[in-house]
Amino acid sequence: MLPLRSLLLPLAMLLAGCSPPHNPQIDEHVIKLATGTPLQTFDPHLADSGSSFSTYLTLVYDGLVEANPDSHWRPLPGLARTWRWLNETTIEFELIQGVTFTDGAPFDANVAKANIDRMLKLAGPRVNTVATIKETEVIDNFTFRIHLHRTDPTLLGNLTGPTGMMISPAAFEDESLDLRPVGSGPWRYDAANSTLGDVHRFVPRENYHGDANPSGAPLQIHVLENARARLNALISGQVNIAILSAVEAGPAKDRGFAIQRRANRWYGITYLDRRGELVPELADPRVRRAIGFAIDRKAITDAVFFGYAKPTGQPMFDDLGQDPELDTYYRYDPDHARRLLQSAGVERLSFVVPIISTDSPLYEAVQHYLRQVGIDIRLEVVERGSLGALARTRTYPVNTLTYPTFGPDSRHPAIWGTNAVFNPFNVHGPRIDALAEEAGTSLDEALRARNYRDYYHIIVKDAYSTVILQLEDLVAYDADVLDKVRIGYVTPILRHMTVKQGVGSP
Amino acid sequence: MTKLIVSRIAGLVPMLLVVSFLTFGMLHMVPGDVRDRILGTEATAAQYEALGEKLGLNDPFLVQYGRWLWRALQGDLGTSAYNSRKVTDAVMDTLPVTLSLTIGGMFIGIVIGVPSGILAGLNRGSTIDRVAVLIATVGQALPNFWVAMLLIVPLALWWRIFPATGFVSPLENFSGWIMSIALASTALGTSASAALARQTRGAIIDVLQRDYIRTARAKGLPRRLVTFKHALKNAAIPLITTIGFQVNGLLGGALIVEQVFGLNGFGNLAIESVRTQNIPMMQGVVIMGALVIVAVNLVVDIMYGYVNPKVRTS
Repeated sequence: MLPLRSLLLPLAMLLAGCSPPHNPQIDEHVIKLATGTPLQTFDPHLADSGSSFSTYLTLVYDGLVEANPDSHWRPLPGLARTWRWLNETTIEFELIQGVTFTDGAPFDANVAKANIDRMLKLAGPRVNTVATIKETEVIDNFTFRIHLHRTDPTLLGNLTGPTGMMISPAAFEDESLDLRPVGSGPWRYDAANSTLGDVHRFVPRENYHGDANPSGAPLQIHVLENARARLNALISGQVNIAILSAVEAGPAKDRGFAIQRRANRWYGITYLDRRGELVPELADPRVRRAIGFAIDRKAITDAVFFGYAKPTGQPMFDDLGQDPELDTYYRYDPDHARRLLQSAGVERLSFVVPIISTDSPLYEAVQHYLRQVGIDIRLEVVERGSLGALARTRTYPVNTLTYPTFGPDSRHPAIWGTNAVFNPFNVHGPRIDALAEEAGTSLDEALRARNYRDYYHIIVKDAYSTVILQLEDLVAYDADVLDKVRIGYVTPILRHMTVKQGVGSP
Repeated sequence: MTKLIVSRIAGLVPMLLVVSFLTFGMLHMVPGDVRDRILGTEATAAQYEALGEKLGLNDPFLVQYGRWLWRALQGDLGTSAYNSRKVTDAVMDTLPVTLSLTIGGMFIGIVIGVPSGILAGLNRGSTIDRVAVLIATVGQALPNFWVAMLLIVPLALWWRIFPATGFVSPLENFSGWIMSIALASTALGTSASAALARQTRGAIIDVLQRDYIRTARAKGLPRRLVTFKHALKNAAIPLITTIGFQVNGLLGGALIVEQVFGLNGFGNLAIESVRTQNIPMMQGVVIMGALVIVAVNLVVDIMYGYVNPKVRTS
């Protein structure tokens, strides 16, 4: 290989006007992330809480409270140092002092109030998650209260998202705020040297008040839609951390990159038609349970996701109320599935399952297993992004939307509740409604854990959904350069990542 | 020639109108709703309605189209459904990447394809001809993205001579620009060079059999003069048509190659717009893409008129 290289190198230099070839070692003290997530908006009050939020907005904004990767329900201090419930409907925050925004404006209780008020007024995508907020109140410069219509144990967890982010009030009316953020976060967005959809550059803020970005590293986010391109960028040294899919994780590992993984999203079939209007057989829980027993989750996980997924029968992740027993409730047992179908009087069953094209390998495997027990599912590929709209209609008896890691407080009104958004057949579930209602209006964590546990036992055992697996988000990174790499929601938690000392130093 | 150009440009206006109307119509038939994307899964019906109002989605189709067309005529292709980014800005940010790849690919195609074709045509039936035809056949059969991957592995990943991803503007750093598009352009240009080689060979063989070539030879003109003055100019007529087709093909091919090299080009913008159902952006991409194709065809027509006087007079 060397002779060919020695031939090509001068040729390339000649081509490049005698400039030296690309040298990725020059600026290794910069955190360089390759992601497929483009920036949507820098205005947190108009942002959803998806990957665009966690990738970009958490860099330039601080929230009242910060997301805790170990528990959605127990956030970490952010711009609020401490908080306490004064009664069932009032929470008081003590704010930290000495915080300034990138435009020089100071942060205080009036700013916090103005932000919460703006967020409620703009009614962005996440406003429903904090719909219990009645009003805000400034007690003194650094003490601030939120009054609620009713008890809301999810408030703090939800304030870790876009709804709790603080913007400099001077930028409220700035029409370019969505592309030029003015926050108090550990980095400042370098709009002049960034190109939307390509490379976003962030400059560390000197004298940042918090403990984020401890190594003071600049940050670049390279938007590469194609996962293979992200892997190539990592291997060639253009980035030092990349979000990959399961296919690329193996090659990255083989080349010595460290891998972090975290289950963040569940895949499965949710039965919309649980009353059997389109497919009468689906009204019988035994039939739905049979589907659960007919699928070999481990084999699918290994074959389709190369082991980078957790085979499980439950939609709950490691958090409050999770019961590990439900992971294996639906062990692979096709004979049991046949018996269940027989007891339900079903010999042959056929229905249509809408999927998006990227999920084809998964559902083709499911199709294979179900065929073994006499269930014929016909996969119908629909446009990407249309599953949500379809789940609101009676077009299909089932849906295959994937859902992220949240508890029933947000999932119940979305998926399984009687008044859920995705319950077009108006299937009643009084027991789960009661459990969710009680858990959703109590600050008693033990009660909430108990209710969650009972709730998910019903969802799993009555087969409201047949969960197949929990897909893992994956990042590969250069462990010689980066330290303290953890995955949050889809993206690594960049705020607390560090560049190892000595790397890239002149 | 001026008449030719004016008539061609006049013909573009109704065509662009038809393209814009069809695109607008088809985009509105695409299943799914951008509001699902923007608002997530927990929005209320009121929020849906409000966002629809803001984005103008609640109006009848023809009203939406009329509003878009009126603004487009004033140079405003609209704003992204997700933020305040102007569609024209997005297009202007990404078009140079794709045009760079297309120009680079065409450069590779012409530099390799045309001389190979001439050489093969002039030596018809020889070993040179057979080898050139074989290479051209293989070159045409190779998918661009596959060639791209073949180039990346040794040249970007093993030896790190070229960057594996990313684009550098020629205004910022000219040598960096060449390095950033070298592999992608080569991948794109492979099939173009093969097609051009085959076309050039065929055209040369055809022209060399014409009476005027035989006459020129009979007059005792040197072979070089016959080849370069008489044969090549006439062989260039079908070649220009092929180059026009190839440029259009390269623009399409660039959409895929951009993905492999992680380049933020026009194709990437198109794919991202489709993925996120960003209708204003999609509409802008299609219209600007159509404009580029039309401009290329216009240039081909003009060049055609230049080398073939019959076209001008007709």
